[in-house]
Amino acid sequence: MKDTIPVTHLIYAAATAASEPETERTLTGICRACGEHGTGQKFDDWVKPTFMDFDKLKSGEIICAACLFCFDDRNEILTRITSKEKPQRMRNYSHFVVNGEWIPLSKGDKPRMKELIMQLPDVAVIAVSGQKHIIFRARPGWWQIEEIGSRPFPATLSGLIEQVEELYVGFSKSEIETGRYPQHRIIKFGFDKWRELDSAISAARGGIALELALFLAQKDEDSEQDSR
Amino acid sequence: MNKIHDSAKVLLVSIWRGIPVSYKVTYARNIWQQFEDNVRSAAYTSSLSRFINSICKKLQIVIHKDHVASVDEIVSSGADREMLRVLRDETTTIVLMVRLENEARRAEWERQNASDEQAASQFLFGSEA
Repeated sequence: MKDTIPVTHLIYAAATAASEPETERTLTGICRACGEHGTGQKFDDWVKPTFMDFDKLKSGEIICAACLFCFDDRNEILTRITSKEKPQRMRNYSHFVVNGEWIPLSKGDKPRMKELIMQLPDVAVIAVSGQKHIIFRARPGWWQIEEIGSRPFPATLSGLIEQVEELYVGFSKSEIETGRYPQHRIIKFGFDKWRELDSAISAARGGIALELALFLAQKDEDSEQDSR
Repeated sequence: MNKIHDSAKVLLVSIWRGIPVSYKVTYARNIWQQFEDNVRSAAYTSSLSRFINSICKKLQIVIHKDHVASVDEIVSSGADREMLRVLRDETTTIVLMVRLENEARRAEWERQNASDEQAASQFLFGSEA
Protein backbone atom coordinates (compact mmCIF):
# COMPACT_ATOMS: atom_id res chain seq x y z
CA MET A 1 0.00 0.00 0.00
CA LYS A 2 1.32 3.45 -0.93
CA ASP A 3 1.71 5.89 1.92
CA THR A 4 1.96 9.10 -0.08
CA ILE A 5 -0.40 11.00 -2.33
CA PRO A 6 0.97 11.43 -5.88
CA VAL A 7 2.20 14.92 -6.69
CA THR A 8 -0.23 15.19 -9.62
CA HIS A 9 -3.10 14.71 -7.14
CA LEU A 10 -1.70 17.29 -4.72
CA ILE A 11 -1.44 19.88 -7.51
CA TYR A 12 -4.85 18.99 -8.93
CA ALA A 13 -6.52 19.18 -5.51
CA ALA A 14 -4.90 22.54 -4.76
CA ALA A 15 -5.68 23.92 -8.23
CA THR A 16 -9.31 22.84 -8.31
CA ALA A 17 -10.16 23.43 -4.67
CA ALA A 18 -12.40 26.33 -5.54
CA SER A 19 -13.85 24.83 -8.74
CA GLU A 20 -16.70 22.48 -9.46
CA PRO A 21 -15.66 18.81 -9.38
CA GLU A 22 -14.90 17.15 -12.73
CA THR A 23 -17.97 15.28 -14.01
CA GLU A 24 -17.22 14.83 -17.72
CA ARG A 25 -14.95 11.83 -17.39
CA THR A 26 -16.55 8.67 -16.09
CA LEU A 27 -14.16 5.86 -17.05
CA THR A 28 -12.70 4.34 -13.91
CA GLY A 29 -9.58 2.24 -13.50
CA ILE A 30 -5.90 2.39 -12.55
CA CYS A 31 -4.02 5.44 -13.85
CA ARG A 32 -0.90 4.60 -15.83
CA ALA A 33 0.88 7.78 -14.72
CA CYS A 34 0.29 7.74 -10.94
CA GLY A 35 -0.82 4.16 -10.30
CA GLU A 36 -3.89 5.30 -8.33
CA HIS A 37 -7.44 4.13 -8.85
CA GLY A 38 -9.46 6.99 -10.27
CA THR A 39 -11.66 8.45 -12.97
CA GLY A 40 -10.38 9.65 -16.29
CA GLN A 41 -10.07 8.64 -19.90
CA LYS A 42 -8.63 5.67 -21.74
CA PHE A 43 -4.85 5.93 -21.78
CA ASP A 44 -4.50 4.65 -25.34
CA ASP A 45 -6.88 7.31 -26.64
CA TRP A 46 -4.98 10.07 -24.84
CA VAL A 47 -1.34 9.17 -25.41
CA LYS A 48 0.40 10.84 -28.36
CA PRO A 49 3.07 9.25 -30.59
CA THR A 50 5.55 11.81 -29.20
CA PHE A 51 5.21 10.43 -25.63
CA MET A 52 8.53 8.81 -24.69
CA ASP A 53 8.28 8.00 -20.98
CA PHE A 54 6.74 4.53 -21.27
CA ASP A 55 9.42 3.18 -18.90
CA LYS A 56 7.98 5.33 -16.11
CA LEU A 57 4.38 4.19 -16.51
CA LYS A 58 2.49 1.89 -14.18
CA SER A 59 0.22 -0.98 -15.08
CA GLY A 60 -3.27 0.30 -15.77
CA GLU A 61 -5.70 1.36 -18.43
CA ILE A 62 -6.65 4.99 -17.86
CA ILE A 63 -5.08 8.40 -17.33
CA CYS A 64 -6.80 10.01 -14.34
CA ALA A 65 -8.17 13.55 -14.15
CA ALA A 66 -5.32 14.73 -11.88
CA CYS A 67 -2.62 13.47 -14.24
CA LEU A 68 -4.50 14.81 -17.27
CA PHE A 69 -4.49 18.20 -15.57
CA CYS A 70 -0.72 18.02 -14.99
CA PHE A 71 0.06 16.90 -18.56
CA ASP A 72 -2.22 19.52 -20.09
CA ASP A 73 -0.72 21.68 -22.83
CA ARG A 74 -3.77 23.99 -22.84
CA ASN A 75 -4.49 24.29 -19.14
CA GLU A 76 -7.33 26.72 -18.55
CA ILE A 77 -6.77 27.23 -14.83
CA LEU A 78 -3.04 27.86 -15.39
CA THR A 79 -3.84 30.29 -18.20
CA ARG A 80 -6.25 32.14 -15.94
CA ILE A 81 -4.01 32.42 -12.89
CA THR A 82 -1.00 33.50 -14.93
CA SER A 83 -3.18 36.11 -16.67
CA LYS A 84 -2.00 35.02 -20.12
CA GLU A 85 -4.03 35.29 -23.28
CA LYS A 86 -2.78 32.10 -24.96
CA PRO A 87 -3.35 28.66 -23.42
CA GLN A 88 -0.45 27.73 -21.14
CA ARG A 89 1.45 24.45 -20.92
CA MET A 90 1.94 22.87 -17.51
CA ARG A 91 5.42 21.62 -18.48
CA ASN A 92 6.66 25.16 -19.14
CA TYR A 93 6.21 26.06 -15.46
CA SER A 94 7.82 25.13 -12.16
CA HIS A 95 5.22 24.04 -9.62
CA PHE A 96 5.06 24.42 -5.87
CA VAL A 97 2.40 23.45 -3.36
CA VAL A 98 2.78 25.26 -0.06
CA ASN A 99 0.19 24.74 2.68
CA GLY A 100 -2.33 23.48 0.14
CA GLU A 101 -1.78 26.38 -2.26
CA TRP A 102 -0.62 25.65 -5.80
CA ILE A 103 1.95 28.16 -7.08
CA PRO A 104 3.07 27.77 -10.71
CA LEU A 105 6.05 29.96 -11.62
CA SER A 106 7.62 30.75 -14.96
CA LYS A 107 11.39 30.91 -15.49
CA GLY A 108 11.18 34.68 -15.09
CA ASP A 109 10.22 34.36 -11.44
CA LYS A 110 13.37 32.84 -9.98
CA PRO A 111 13.51 35.05 -6.88
CA ARG A 112 10.12 33.64 -5.84
CA MET A 113 11.29 30.10 -6.70
CA LYS A 114 14.28 30.56 -4.40
CA GLU A 115 12.02 31.81 -1.64
CA LEU A 116 9.53 28.94 -2.00
CA ILE A 117 12.05 26.12 -2.27
CA MET A 118 13.70 27.23 0.96
CA GLN A 119 10.34 26.86 2.75
CA LEU A 120 10.50 23.08 2.09
CA PRO A 121 7.16 22.95 0.24
CA ASP A 122 4.93 19.87 -0.07
CA VAL A 123 5.62 19.88 -3.79
CA ALA A 124 8.64 21.37 -5.58
CA VAL A 125 8.95 20.67 -9.29
CA ILE A 126 11.61 22.77 -11.00
CA ALA A 127 11.32 22.87 -14.78
CA VAL A 128 14.80 23.80 -16.05
CA SER A 129 14.19 23.24 -19.76
CA GLY A 130 10.41 23.62 -19.65
CA GLN A 131 10.17 20.99 -22.36
CA LYS A 132 9.62 17.78 -20.41
CA HIS A 133 6.69 16.39 -18.46
CA ILE A 134 8.23 16.05 -15.01
CA ILE A 135 5.35 16.53 -12.57
CA PHE A 136 4.28 12.89 -12.67
CA ARG A 137 7.84 11.83 -11.76
CA ALA A 138 7.94 14.00 -8.62
CA ARG A 139 7.50 12.78 -5.04
CA PRO A 140 5.89 14.82 -2.23
CA GLY A 141 8.46 16.38 0.07
CA TRP A 142 11.26 15.84 -2.45
CA TRP A 143 12.68 18.28 -4.95
CA GLN A 144 12.15 17.28 -8.57
CA ILE A 145 14.81 19.12 -10.56
CA GLU A 146 14.12 18.53 -14.24
CA GLU A 147 14.51 14.74 -14.51
CA ILE A 148 16.27 14.18 -11.18
CA GLY A 149 14.52 13.74 -7.86
CA SER A 150 16.41 14.63 -4.70
CA ARG A 151 15.91 14.96 -0.97
CA PRO A 152 15.84 18.69 -0.10
CA PHE A 153 19.23 20.28 0.57
CA PRO A 154 18.39 23.91 1.52
CA ALA A 155 21.60 24.68 3.44
CA THR A 156 23.87 23.42 0.64
CA LEU A 157 21.77 25.18 -1.97
CA SER A 158 21.78 28.46 -0.12
CA GLY A 159 25.60 28.45 0.17
CA LEU A 160 26.05 27.48 -3.46
CA ILE A 161 23.66 30.16 -4.73
CA GLU A 162 25.60 32.77 -2.79
CA GLN A 163 28.95 31.68 -4.28
CA VAL A 164 27.54 31.25 -7.79
CA GLU A 165 25.94 34.71 -7.70
CA GLU A 166 29.29 36.24 -6.73
CA LEU A 167 30.99 34.45 -9.63
CA TYR A 168 28.11 35.35 -11.96
CA VAL A 169 29.17 39.00 -11.69
CA GLY A 170 32.24 38.23 -13.80
CA PHE A 171 31.53 34.94 -15.58
CA SER A 172 28.79 33.26 -17.57
CA LYS A 173 26.75 30.39 -16.15
CA SER A 174 28.31 28.06 -18.68
CA GLU A 175 31.84 29.01 -17.55
CA ILE A 176 30.89 28.44 -13.92
CA GLU A 177 29.23 25.13 -14.77
CA THR A 178 32.16 23.74 -16.77
CA GLY A 179 35.01 25.35 -14.83
CA ARG A 180 36.51 26.59 -18.10
CA TYR A 181 37.10 30.29 -17.44
CA PRO A 182 38.82 32.67 -19.86
CA GLN A 183 42.01 34.00 -18.27
CA HIS A 184 41.32 37.64 -19.07
CA ARG A 185 38.03 37.48 -17.17
CA ILE A 186 39.73 35.95 -14.13
CA ILE A 187 42.31 38.74 -14.13
CA LYS A 188 39.54 41.34 -14.40
CA PHE A 189 37.50 39.64 -11.66
CA GLY A 190 40.48 39.16 -9.33
CA PHE A 191 42.56 35.97 -9.21
CA ASP A 192 42.41 35.41 -5.44
CA LYS A 193 38.67 36.01 -5.20
CA TRP A 194 37.99 33.75 -8.20
CA ARG A 195 40.18 31.01 -6.77
CA GLU A 196 38.45 31.13 -3.40
CA LEU A 197 34.96 31.01 -4.90
CA ASP A 198 35.72 28.42 -7.57
CA SER A 199 37.43 26.15 -5.04
CA ALA A 200 34.30 26.34 -2.90
CA ILE A 201 32.01 25.16 -5.70
CA SER A 202 34.35 22.81 -7.56
CA ALA A 203 33.41 19.73 -5.51
CA ALA A 204 29.76 20.27 -6.48
CA ARG A 205 30.55 20.51 -10.21
CA GLY A 206 28.62 17.94 -12.26
CA GLY A 207 26.05 17.41 -9.49
CA ILE A 208 22.41 18.38 -9.20
CA ALA A 209 23.05 20.89 -6.38
CA LEU A 210 25.24 23.11 -8.55
CA GLU A 211 22.89 22.70 -11.50
CA LEU A 212 20.01 23.97 -9.38
CA ALA A 213 22.10 26.79 -7.90
CA LEU A 214 23.10 27.88 -11.42
CA PHE A 215 19.49 27.77 -12.57
CA LEU A 216 18.30 29.87 -9.63
CA ALA A 217 21.25 32.30 -9.52
CA GLN A 218 20.44 35.85 -10.52
CA LYS A 219 22.50 38.95 -11.15
CA ASP A 220 21.45 41.82 -8.97
CA GLU A 221 20.97 45.14 -10.71
CA ASP A 222 24.02 46.81 -9.11
CA SER A 223 26.46 44.09 -10.17
CA GLU A 224 24.95 44.00 -13.66
CA GLN A 225 25.63 47.71 -14.06
CA ASP A 226 29.18 47.30 -12.69
CA SER A 227 30.01 44.56 -15.18
CA ARG A 228 28.96 46.70 -18.16
CA MET B 1 48.25 26.10 -2.15
CA ASN B 2 50.67 23.27 -1.42
CA LYS B 3 54.16 22.14 -2.44
CA ILE B 4 52.87 20.40 -5.58
CA HIS B 5 51.25 23.65 -6.77
CA ASP B 6 54.50 25.53 -6.15
CA SER B 7 56.54 22.94 -8.05
CA ALA B 8 54.01 22.93 -10.91
CA LYS B 9 54.35 26.70 -11.11
CA VAL B 10 58.15 26.55 -11.15
CA LEU B 11 57.96 23.92 -13.91
CA LEU B 12 55.57 25.99 -16.02
CA VAL B 13 57.65 29.14 -15.54
CA SER B 14 60.64 27.28 -17.00
CA ILE B 15 58.54 25.97 -19.88
CA TRP B 16 57.00 29.39 -20.55
CA ARG B 17 60.39 31.08 -20.69
CA GLY B 18 61.52 28.43 -23.18
CA ILE B 19 58.90 29.43 -25.76
CA PRO B 20 60.71 31.32 -28.55
CA VAL B 21 60.08 35.06 -28.55
CA SER B 22 59.13 34.89 -32.24
CA TYR B 23 56.39 32.35 -31.39
CA LYS B 24 55.08 34.57 -28.58
CA VAL B 25 55.02 37.56 -30.93
CA THR B 26 53.26 35.63 -33.73
CA TYR B 27 50.54 34.42 -31.36
CA ALA B 28 50.54 37.44 -29.05
CA ARG B 29 46.74 37.68 -29.01
CA ASN B 30 46.10 34.22 -27.63
CA ILE B 31 49.45 32.87 -26.49
CA TRP B 32 48.37 32.46 -22.86
CA GLN B 33 45.21 30.58 -23.82
CA GLN B 34 47.26 28.46 -26.21
CA PHE B 35 49.72 27.77 -23.42
CA GLU B 36 46.92 26.73 -21.03
CA ASP B 37 45.28 24.44 -23.61
CA ASN B 38 48.58 22.80 -24.47
CA VAL B 39 49.52 22.28 -20.81
CA ARG B 40 46.15 20.66 -20.18
CA SER B 41 46.31 18.32 -23.16
CA ALA B 42 49.97 17.39 -22.62
CA ALA B 43 49.22 16.55 -18.97
CA TYR B 44 47.08 13.59 -20.06
CA THR B 45 50.02 11.24 -19.79
CA SER B 46 51.68 9.04 -17.18
CA SER B 47 55.02 10.73 -16.55
CA LEU B 48 56.36 14.27 -16.22
CA SER B 49 59.14 13.62 -18.73
CA ARG B 50 56.52 12.66 -21.35
CA PHE B 51 54.55 15.79 -20.44
CA ILE B 52 57.61 17.97 -21.01
CA ASN B 53 58.49 16.21 -24.28
CA SER B 54 54.98 16.65 -25.55
CA ILE B 55 54.57 20.35 -24.71
CA CYS B 56 58.08 21.23 -25.91
CA LYS B 57 57.31 19.65 -29.27
CA LYS B 58 53.96 21.44 -29.62
CA LEU B 59 55.21 24.93 -28.75
CA GLN B 60 58.78 24.70 -30.14
CA ILE B 61 60.13 25.08 -26.59
CA VAL B 62 63.79 24.89 -25.67
CA ILE B 63 64.32 24.90 -21.90
CA HIS B 64 66.82 27.62 -21.02
CA LYS B 65 70.09 26.33 -19.55
CA ASP B 66 69.49 28.31 -16.32
CA HIS B 67 66.29 26.30 -15.75
CA VAL B 68 67.50 22.81 -16.65
CA ALA B 69 68.57 21.96 -13.09
CA SER B 70 65.25 22.98 -11.50
CA VAL B 71 63.23 21.18 -14.19
CA ASP B 72 65.37 18.09 -13.69
CA GLU B 73 64.83 18.22 -9.94
CA ILE B 74 61.04 18.40 -10.36
CA VAL B 75 60.96 15.63 -12.97
CA SER B 76 62.96 13.29 -10.75
CA SER B 77 61.02 14.13 -7.56
CA GLY B 78 58.72 11.12 -8.02
CA ALA B 79 55.56 13.24 -7.74
CA ASP B 80 54.53 12.66 -11.36
CA ARG B 81 51.01 11.51 -10.59
CA GLU B 82 50.07 14.36 -8.21
CA MET B 83 51.68 17.01 -10.38
CA LEU B 84 50.06 15.78 -13.58
CA ARG B 85 46.69 15.80 -11.80
CA VAL B 86 47.22 19.44 -10.80
CA LEU B 87 48.35 20.32 -14.33
CA ARG B 88 45.23 18.65 -15.77
CA ASP B 89 42.57 19.70 -13.26
CA GLU B 90 43.87 23.06 -12.09
CA THR B 91 45.48 24.22 -15.30
CA THR B 92 43.86 27.65 -15.32
CA THR B 93 45.01 28.35 -11.77
CA ILE B 94 48.63 27.33 -12.34
CA VAL B 95 48.91 29.07 -15.72
CA LEU B 96 47.44 32.24 -14.23
CA MET B 97 49.95 32.11 -11.40
CA VAL B 98 52.71 31.96 -14.01
CA ARG B 99 51.07 34.75 -16.01
CA LEU B 100 50.68 37.04 -13.01
CA GLU B 101 54.25 36.39 -11.91
CA ASN B 102 55.42 37.10 -15.45
CA GLU B 103 53.49 40.37 -15.52
CA ALA B 104 54.93 41.41 -12.16
CA ARG B 105 58.44 40.57 -13.40
CA ARG B 106 57.87 42.63 -16.55
CA ALA B 107 56.51 45.58 -14.59
CA GLU B 108 59.54 45.42 -12.29
CA TRP B 109 61.86 45.26 -15.31
CA GLU B 110 60.13 48.26 -16.93
CA ARG B 111 60.30 50.21 -13.68
CA GLN B 112 63.98 49.32 -13.30
CA ASN B 113 64.65 50.23 -16.92
CA ALA B 114 62.94 53.58 -16.52
CA SER B 115 64.92 54.44 -13.39
CA ASP B 116 68.20 53.36 -15.08
CA GLU B 117 67.39 55.59 -18.04
CA GLN B 118 66.56 58.44 -15.70
CA ALA B 119 69.85 57.93 -13.82
CA ALA B 120 71.81 57.81 -17.09
CA SER B 121 70.05 60.93 -18.31
CA GLN B 122 70.84 62.74 -15.05
CA PHE B 123 74.47 61.60 -15.25
CA LEU B 124 74.83 62.76 -18.85
CA PHE B 125 72.74 65.91 -18.87
CA GLY B 126 72.36 66.85 -15.21
CA SER B 127 69.18 67.36 -13.21
CA GLU B 128 66.20 68.94 -15.00
CA ALA B 129 65.61 71.11 -12.00
